[in-house]
Amino acid sequence: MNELLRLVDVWKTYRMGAVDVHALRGMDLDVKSGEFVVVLGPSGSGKTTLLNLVGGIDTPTKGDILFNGINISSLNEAELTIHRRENVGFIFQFFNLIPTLTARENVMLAAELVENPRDADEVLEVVGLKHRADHFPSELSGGEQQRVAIARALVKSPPLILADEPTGSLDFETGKMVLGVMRDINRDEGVTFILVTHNSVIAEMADRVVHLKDGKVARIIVNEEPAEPEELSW
Amino acid sequence: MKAVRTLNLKVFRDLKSQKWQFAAVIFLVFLGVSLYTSFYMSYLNLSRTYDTFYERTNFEDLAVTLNPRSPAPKDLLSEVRRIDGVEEVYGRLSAYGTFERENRKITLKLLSIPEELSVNRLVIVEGRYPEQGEKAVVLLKKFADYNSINVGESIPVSINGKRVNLKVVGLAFSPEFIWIVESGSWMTTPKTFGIAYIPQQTIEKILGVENVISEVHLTIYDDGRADEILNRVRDIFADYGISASYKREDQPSNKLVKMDLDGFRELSFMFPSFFLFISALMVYVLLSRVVREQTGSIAILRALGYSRRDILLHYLTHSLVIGILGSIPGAVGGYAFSVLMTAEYTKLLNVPYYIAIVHKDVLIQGLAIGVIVPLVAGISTAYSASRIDPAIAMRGVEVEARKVKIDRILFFTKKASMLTRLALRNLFRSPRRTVYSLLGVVASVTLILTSMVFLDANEFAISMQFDKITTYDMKISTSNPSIYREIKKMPEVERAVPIIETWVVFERDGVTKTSILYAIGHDQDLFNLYDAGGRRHHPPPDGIVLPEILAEKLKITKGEDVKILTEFGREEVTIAEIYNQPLTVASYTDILYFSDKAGTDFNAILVKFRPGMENEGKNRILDVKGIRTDSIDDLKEYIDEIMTFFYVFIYFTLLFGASLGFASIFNTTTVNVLERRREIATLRMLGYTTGEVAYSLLIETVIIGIIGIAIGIPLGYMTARLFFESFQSEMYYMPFIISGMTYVLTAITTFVTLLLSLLPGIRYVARMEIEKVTKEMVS
Repeated sequence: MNELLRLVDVWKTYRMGAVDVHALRGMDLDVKSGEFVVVLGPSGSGKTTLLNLVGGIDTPTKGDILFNGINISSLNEAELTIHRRENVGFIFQFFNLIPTLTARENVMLAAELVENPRDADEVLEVVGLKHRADHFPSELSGGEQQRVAIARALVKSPPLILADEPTGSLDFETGKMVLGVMRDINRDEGVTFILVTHNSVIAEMADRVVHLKDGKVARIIVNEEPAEPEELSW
Repeated sequence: MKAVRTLNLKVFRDLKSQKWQFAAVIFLVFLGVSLYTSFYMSYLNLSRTYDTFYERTNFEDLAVTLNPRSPAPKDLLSEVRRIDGVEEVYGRLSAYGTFERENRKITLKLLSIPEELSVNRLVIVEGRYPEQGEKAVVLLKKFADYNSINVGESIPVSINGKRVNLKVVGLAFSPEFIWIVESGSWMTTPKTFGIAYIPQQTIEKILGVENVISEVHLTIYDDGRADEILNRVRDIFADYGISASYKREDQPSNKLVKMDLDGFRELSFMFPSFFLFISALMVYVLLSRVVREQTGSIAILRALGYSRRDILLHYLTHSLVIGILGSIPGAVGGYAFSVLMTAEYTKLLNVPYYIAIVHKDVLIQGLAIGVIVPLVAGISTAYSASRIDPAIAMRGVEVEARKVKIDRILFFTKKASMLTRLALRNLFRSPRRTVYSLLGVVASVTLILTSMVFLDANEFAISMQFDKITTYDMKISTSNPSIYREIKKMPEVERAVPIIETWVVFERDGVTKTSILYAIGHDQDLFNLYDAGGRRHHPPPDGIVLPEILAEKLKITKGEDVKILTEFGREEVTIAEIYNQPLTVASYTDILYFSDKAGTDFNAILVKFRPGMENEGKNRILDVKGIRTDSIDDLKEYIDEIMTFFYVFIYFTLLFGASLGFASIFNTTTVNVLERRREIATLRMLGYTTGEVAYSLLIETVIIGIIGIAIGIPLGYMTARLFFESFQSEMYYMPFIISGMTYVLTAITTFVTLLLSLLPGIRYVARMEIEKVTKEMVS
């Protein structure tokens, strides 16, 4: 597998009032194309910061982030926007759908950003929601909303999808279903996933598990035989 | 661009989700644009109506009228024609006649016409011009309509004691009489005064004169030489007693027309400014709320790959849509309203037609203003939306605590209930929004007060004019002492008072100003002198009372001497006092002082009938030959008719003022309620009733209302004062009067409006699904 992402000595420092808070302290990490990576760590370990930096919605204070060989840490605002458009799909804990747009329109909102997007209905079918395409988020269950969010991430055909606690707001069964959809996309379409979670059980389905602690990679575990989402239990 | 399609859809959904708030702003933009386009287009259309009418009829540039008792030889017209710069000349004879109709005595001013009119041509709308020598007249159309006189009918007119049957052969409009105002007279009504055009030869025969004229009307090539040419014409006729002379700008009808046009132009800027200013504040408040509420969505859009520019344009699109939805119907409605206004207004005038064309430039200006104002108002909010850091936004918005500062300000509320304290704190929670609500109320109060001041001033002026200044029943124009004696002896007449009424031209350092001059007796009480403040005065024994506006223009002060020209000749008089009178811009003097200078004891008689004998008295006077009469009641009736248009206009302004306050407070209140819905739901969960929550909202609104009224009333006072100043003219003076009740009514109207605007917010609170709201996730 080709290397998709490389982080080299990445630091991120936030200024909180008079205090400097180091969210990342020299993080090094490689992610290969087509991998399903789960990032585990306690609150404040830098999980979300890592996603934000890789997704190009934040910039590192120090260090390099290479995406397909391009150092995105030195990109300007406009170039980062293009990076987000073309390379990354986001999935959030609270789904973050636009409440005034239907499921299909939420997906199209992302589709319209790229040259050759996938068909909105097709990706909704991939996540099993074609029949709910004309419903507004308020008319959908939590699991359905998260699947719309996955479809929205998928429609641009990005090489990388970043998922921040995607099951955090879902019940056990719905959570497993959503993870199943993500795993299928990863396997069938070769999309790389970096999934950040508190839930260590989810790590069992990953190709690799990255443990963060105090803004650094504490350890990386490779799953030789990742579990199927249906087998998970928490 | 493909990438903005779904975002545009989101704009409309955003607007739909807060449709009433957006509708309120759109309504204000609509009002602003429609008021601008309607008033400005009416101004342009009326201007064009008058200009084309003037052009088509070759309206005079200069005029000199002589004392009808001493007409000048017609040959002198050739001297006028020889003056360098003179284009066309029209000399005519004028005479007064009377006839009775429906038990009313109507005065007819007969103006002669030659075979072909070169200046002040008539627009015949029915019938024809009379032949020379034919005993026929052309009447002004509106006068004929008012008195139901038809073409083909003969009217028996008494002229100089002779009774002549004059056939009405045509109905016409004249550029000289768009408003029928006689120089030297305050106002006339078509009920008792009309204009008739009669062939020159016919009137000469009736009057027993030949080849004489008493008026000269002319056009010139170069307006810059108007004064010089007018002086030369005056010199030519100096020996025949000049009774009036004026340039086109001072022509009585044209002067009124221009005064009204100025009013339309002023209004086209003043009113829209109010509405557009408040709509701008409301766009800011609304858009800020939308952006605050959508911070999470903005972060998502940014994470999806939308650029800052996309976000900026997205939120500016909200402003753009407000602008477009408000200004397109505003411009169209404005045009329709301008047609209606032009049509209704010209009904009051003597014009044969009105022009109501679409002024594309005004439409474009209206559309541009309506779009630009919300766009500018939305720029800072849209910009801040575009600068939202997605990484920070996704963590949620931190609300900065202001507790210490607020508590320090609100130290006095420590003993107040929690709900009251909450209401007071809310005022400081979003200070900018509170200030904008306040400005909405202030603008509303200002507009309401300014409109009501017009009603007050008008009521005051009319009641002063008819209850205090002119307390007579009838004015008879005559200088015949035997008629005076005859009238005095009539059993129905309680009092008869002689006065001198004339036009007067003041000349000082090359500046000339015209007004009416009344020479009245010191001890009579049928024509009383009051200043604009309502204080009674008496004519000074020596000198003249000058209205302030003329004194200012002439740069003259009390005690100074000034040259005057009246129909009785040139004099030098002292300015005894300077003050404005309500409604009329007139000069006054004592009849004893002036009759010496005028060489006549009087030229009009004011009559007061005994109570209950008014009708008999009027009828008896109508039988007296060789006089012209004006009844105060007829004048009052005519003024009431004209005022209808004015009142409709004022009531609309009041309505607009109230809607301005409603829209402004409605928006800020509902935005407040929506933003605090979780907090309000929590209060309801704790056990507070809808009424108690409504009380908290009411406290906020009442405080904003009180402060708004406290600021709005002095501001409204100043605005109205400023507005009044701009309306004062050399013909009419509108006294600036505000009654105590007006302040009270303004405050009540404002409060009622505010309370009404609160109702939707309270309704929302009452219908709120508490559990749902408290469980809402903060994205």
